This record gives sequence, C-alpha cells and structure tokens, in this order.
Amino acid sequence: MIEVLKPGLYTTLQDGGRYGFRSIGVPLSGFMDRASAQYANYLVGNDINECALEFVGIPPMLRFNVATQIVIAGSSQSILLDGISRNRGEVIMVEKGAILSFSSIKAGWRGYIAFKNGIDSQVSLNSQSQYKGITERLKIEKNDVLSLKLENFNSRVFKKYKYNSNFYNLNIVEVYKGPEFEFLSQEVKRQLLESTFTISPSSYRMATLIEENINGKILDIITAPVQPGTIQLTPSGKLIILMRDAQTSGGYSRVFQCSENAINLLSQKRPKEQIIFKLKSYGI
Amino acid sequence: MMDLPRIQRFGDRDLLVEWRSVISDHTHSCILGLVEFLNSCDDKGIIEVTSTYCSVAIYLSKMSNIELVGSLVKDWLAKEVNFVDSLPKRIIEIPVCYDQVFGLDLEEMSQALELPISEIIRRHTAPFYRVYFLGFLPGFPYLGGLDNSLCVSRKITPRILVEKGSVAIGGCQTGIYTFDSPGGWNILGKTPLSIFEVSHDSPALLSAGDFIKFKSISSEEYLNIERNINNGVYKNTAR
Repeated sequence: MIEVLKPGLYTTLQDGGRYGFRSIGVPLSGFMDRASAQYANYLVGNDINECALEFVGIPPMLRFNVATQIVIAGSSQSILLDGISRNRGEVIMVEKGAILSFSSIKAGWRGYIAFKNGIDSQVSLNSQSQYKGITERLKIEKNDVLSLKLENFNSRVFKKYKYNSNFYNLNIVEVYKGPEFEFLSQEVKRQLLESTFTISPSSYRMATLIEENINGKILDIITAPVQPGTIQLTPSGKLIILMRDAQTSGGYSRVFQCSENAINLLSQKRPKEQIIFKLKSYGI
Repeated sequence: MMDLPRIQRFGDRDLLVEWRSVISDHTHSCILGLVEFLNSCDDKGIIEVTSTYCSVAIYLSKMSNIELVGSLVKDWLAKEVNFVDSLPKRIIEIPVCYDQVFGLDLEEMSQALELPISEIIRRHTAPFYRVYFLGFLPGFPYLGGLDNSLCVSRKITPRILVEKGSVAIGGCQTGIYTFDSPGGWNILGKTPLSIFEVSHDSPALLSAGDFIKFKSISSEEYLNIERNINNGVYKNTAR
C-alpha cells in the first residue's frame, strides 16, 4: 500500500483512456502526455496503457508501505527517495517504508509515476482514468491509500521504445488544417499561423487555453465532432485547444487538429510558456 | 438528388464524414445508417464512431488502413444514397413533473412567452422529439422537434447548479440534464428517471435515433417512480 502524504496540485489516476463510450458522450480521458506515461510503464515492465499517477504543477509526496519498483517520466524535477537523488527514466527499487518526494518542477509541466503491475482502483466503463460522474473519486487526496495490482496481466514485450525525454523544450505545435480552416478569412489564417501564443494559467485537463485573442469575423457551427487536439476558435476570438478530457462534440469552429505528438507537447507546456502553430499536411 | 458528404482526415489517423450543415431528418437517417454499417465492420481497426447533426467521426487504431476505411465509407455512401428511414425506431416516454417545485423558471417563461403555464406544458409534451445524438454531458440528448413558440433565450446569469434530471429549454433546444451541472437553460420540470447510470451495462438510457415523448406527472407520481427506481422495480416504457 502507498500512502499519499501530500497530494500535489492536481494528481489523478490515468490509464490509456476510456475507449468505446464517446458515442454516448463520455470523454476519452487518459494520460495527457501519452508518450511519457507509456514510456514509464514500458520501463517498469507494464502494459504501456497501465494505470499510473499523473501529477501536474506540484508533485505529490508518497510513503511506500510495500516494496516495489517505480519509474518516473515526464516533467523534469529532482526526485528523492529517502533523501537520495534518483533519475527520470530509471527503474527505482523502492523498499518498504521509503518516502518519495520531489523538488518543484523545473521543466515540463506533467509527470508520471508508473508502479510495477500498476495501481489498483475502480474500473468504470473499461478504464481507471478519473473523471467526474464516471469514477467515484476525481483526484488523489491527502491520506489516500493506493494499492498495487498483484500481477501484471498484460505484460507485453517491446523491441525498443523511442522516446526523447526533453521533447517538450520545443515550442512548435504541429497541426493539421481543421474542418473549418478553409472558411476562415486570410487575415484570421495569417494571425493563426504567424503569431506567438501564450498558454493561459486557466488551462486544465479538458482544454489548454490561449491568452491572446484572434481578431476577425468567426462563425459558430452546427454542433459537430471534436476530439483531443481539436483547436476551436470562438466568435469572440478565443482559442481553445481541447485536451484528453474533451467533450465529444462542440459548436465552435474547428480551425486546427493537433497531431498526437503536439498533444503530448502541449500537455508539458506550463502557464505563460509560448508556442507557435505550424501546418502539417496529411500527405495524400 | 442528395449531396454526397465530404470524407476528410481528422488528425493523425481518424476520419470525418460531413454532410451539408443543415439539420434534416434525411441526413440524420443517412448518418444512423452509416454508423450502423461502421459498427458492423470487424477487423478494420475501427475503435469507435460518433455522430452529430451532420457529421460522423470514425476513430481508428494504429493498425488500421485509413485509405481502406475511407473507401469503404465511399462505397457505402454511393450505394445507400437513397436509403431512407428503414431503421427500427424506439419511442421512450420520459415522465416529467412540471410542478413549480421543480419547474423553477415556468413563471418567468410564462410571462416572457405570454402563454399560461398549462399551455407551455401542453406544447412541451405534445411532440415526439428526435434524439439526434448524445454529447455535452455523458448521456445528454440533443433533441429536435421543440415547438417554436417555446423558444426562449438562455438565462442571463446561469445557475451554478442545475440538478440532474432537470428538463429545460435554451434557445430553440430542449434537453434533460444528465448530471448536476452549471447551466443557463430555463428549467420547466424534472424527471425522476436516471438518463445516465454509469453502473449499468448500457449507461445511457437514450441513443441516437430514438424518439422521446415527455409525459406530465404529478408530484405524487414523481415520488412513486423515484421510490420504484430506488427499489429496482421501475419499468420504463420503451416501445
């Protein structure tokens, strides 16, 4: 069992996502930065979509009442196990009674702690990812007790896993044209592709928000499908980048669609960081 | 002749099929037909399919062949272009208590629309509403068929909490809140039914293509149904 001494800013249980229920309006959820979370699971010997802890902004502090192995990936910060410094991407052997703590985050914005065999918690609609109305618990609280699965039922062997632990130092967000891109005026397109944008502190798991406004005439649409990575532009000129907890449909113009890499990158952008959008073609 | 929809890419590996942006029963029937076809395709790497008024999104796995799925859709559309309402329909009755205990905005609506409350209730319970799709909140139905005379703008100050089960009108749309949620729609009443129950095998009571009919019930009947639901003996009338 693992005791939560400090929950951090907003720590949640996440897995690969809740597939199969979007047609009834249930968001996908799951790891915000899939690349880092899956890498941590891979290194600890789990199925890459196994349930792990996702922290954001301020990491948690944990006490282990069980011996296990963990891997930490994602954001960059000092990792201390009983005061001894450890590394990201290292398989850390944890002894019973050990305390895991972190310094404040130095780069990136979200970190993942993968535990050998994964965390045991309520499975709702085929997923452990915490989401309001779907799972009973919405996030990790102080004094929560986490238990680990006894076996790894899904263990798979991978040849090699490509992962660059500093990918989030980039500020170029790769996007495809969205369904409404062609209907935008030249002036709006120019602003979208030539401006630098600032990540808003109000960003959360449902959406990354942008501080700057786009000027020009922007129309609403008849409610249509959206998914993680859809970038919406509201009539008042606000840009909303939908993230993993996105609704399944929306009524704002869909100007861009992020690549999977771009969603992972955005998940690691902290408030006030700056980004630019770069068009990517489908290449058909 | 019906316009053929546009098939386009939607991110790294997903597809979007979009019809002309007009809400119509014909388009909706085509959409339901396409969704049913796609859900019956095995081994094509289709993870899930969602639909809205004029669009179908096809979410594909890494193993899928995007071009192949695209051409399947194209072929289906070419063949089934004259396809009309051949799908089975369900009509689901939703009991609603329009008492002012629940119908928090009835009085205000009555003044704004210059209609007596009894007439608002009559016009709200008259139509068969088409469920176009579910979205916004898990299980929340986007309904078509509201009597135009009941259109009323959203409240200037949204409520911080609209209770689960509240039946409301916002603009020219009517809907049922499936969760406690903030909301700016005008509340007419409340249903004791749970429109979304996460622990059920099929959590959403409604699905795209269903029709619903609101039935006015008294507060005694409301409490009765609520009790029966809690005791697990309530039977909903799906036809």
